[in-house]
Amino acid sequence: MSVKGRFTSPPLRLNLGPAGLNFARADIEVYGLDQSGPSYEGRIFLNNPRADAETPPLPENGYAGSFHVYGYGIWPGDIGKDRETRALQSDDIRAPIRKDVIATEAVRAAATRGPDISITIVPVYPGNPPRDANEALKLEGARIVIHEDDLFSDEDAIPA
Amino acid sequence: MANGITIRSSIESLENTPNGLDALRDGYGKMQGISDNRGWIYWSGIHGFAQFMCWHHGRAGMGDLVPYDLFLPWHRAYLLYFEHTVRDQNNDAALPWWDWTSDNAHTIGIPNSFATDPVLASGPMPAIPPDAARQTNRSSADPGGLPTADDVNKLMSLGNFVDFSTQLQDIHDSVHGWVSGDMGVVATSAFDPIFWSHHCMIDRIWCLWQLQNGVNNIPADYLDKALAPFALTVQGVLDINRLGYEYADALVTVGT
Repeated sequence: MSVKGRFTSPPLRLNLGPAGLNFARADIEVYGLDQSGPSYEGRIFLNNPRADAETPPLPENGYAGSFHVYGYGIWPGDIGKDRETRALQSDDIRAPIRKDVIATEAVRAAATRGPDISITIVPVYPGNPPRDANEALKLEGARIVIHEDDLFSDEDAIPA
Repeated sequence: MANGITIRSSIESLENTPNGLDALRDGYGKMQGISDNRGWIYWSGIHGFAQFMCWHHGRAGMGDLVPYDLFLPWHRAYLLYFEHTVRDQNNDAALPWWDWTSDNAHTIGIPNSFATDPVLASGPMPAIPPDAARQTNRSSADPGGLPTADDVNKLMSLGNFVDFSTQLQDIHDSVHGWVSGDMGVVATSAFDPIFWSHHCMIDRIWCLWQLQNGVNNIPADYLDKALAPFALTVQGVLDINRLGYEYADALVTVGT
């Protein structure tokens, strides 16, 4: 089920392996991400559900990194239609995508303070100051993926 | 050219070379005035409006169940065909890369020549209902928001091609958003002349990664994938020397 606008996950319990907090890498995966509309930056904050477009993207605010959506914008078949009526098949070039944000130290810092971590995504349009882009964000969800070692296989790297 | 190999240089080096941009300006200018399949609108329209043949991110192709990501090889083929078309108008032209990690880029943003020269500052676009045909526009953000050399250098240690491509694509996506305007969306970005130099930088980064991680470092099941509408497969675009071009100072890292 898609979520539109600001996104905050419920607390996510990390599945740490034998390495514990000494994992090699942690990714924040944002999946089912709509790319059919405008372009924007998705700022990711950990354990800061109050973060918004005015929250400085700094570690002390739980900032873990950003992903960027390069939206399709105009689509000939959609001219005159509302964006909500689009139904995109899985082989459509505008089908939802996944973004993998490498956030190793931010996740480690959050995990050091407790096993449950919430993910908040704040969409912004570029500018000075950046503008809220809540109407652009549409996704299925987000999760944290821990890699015990840095030996990335093709199975690990399913195309995003 | 050297020994039949086209040498791609940076925009900054061409700006600092007397008449360095003349051939590119001449080639682009002529293409922008041609309305048939040798022209700017035709070739730019392959990416977004109206043909939408570009490849971004992992997805299943027609008839496939398993997603794969042809972003890098598809755009390499696209740039190659586009460059050949530019060189049909001026044989001395070569696509220059825009190093958005450089100190200069982080000071001024868009390169001077691409901000002021009429042929390089914008490109013609077809009518896209309800808008009439027009020139492209930009709305760039603060230069400090461009990717850094450190952002790119971190990618060089990612030994898996799919992982590297995924991370590089996000940097790519961020620059499209940074330039904004028509560069900001897939539908219209390729009509902007800076698009080609942005993608030249992306292709150069892939080339630098290949030098460190292997030219043939790509999943085996990608090799025979066709790069439509170009008469090339993924296998055919892995070695840029075989494609007839090279990057000046290929062993020099970004940000210099």
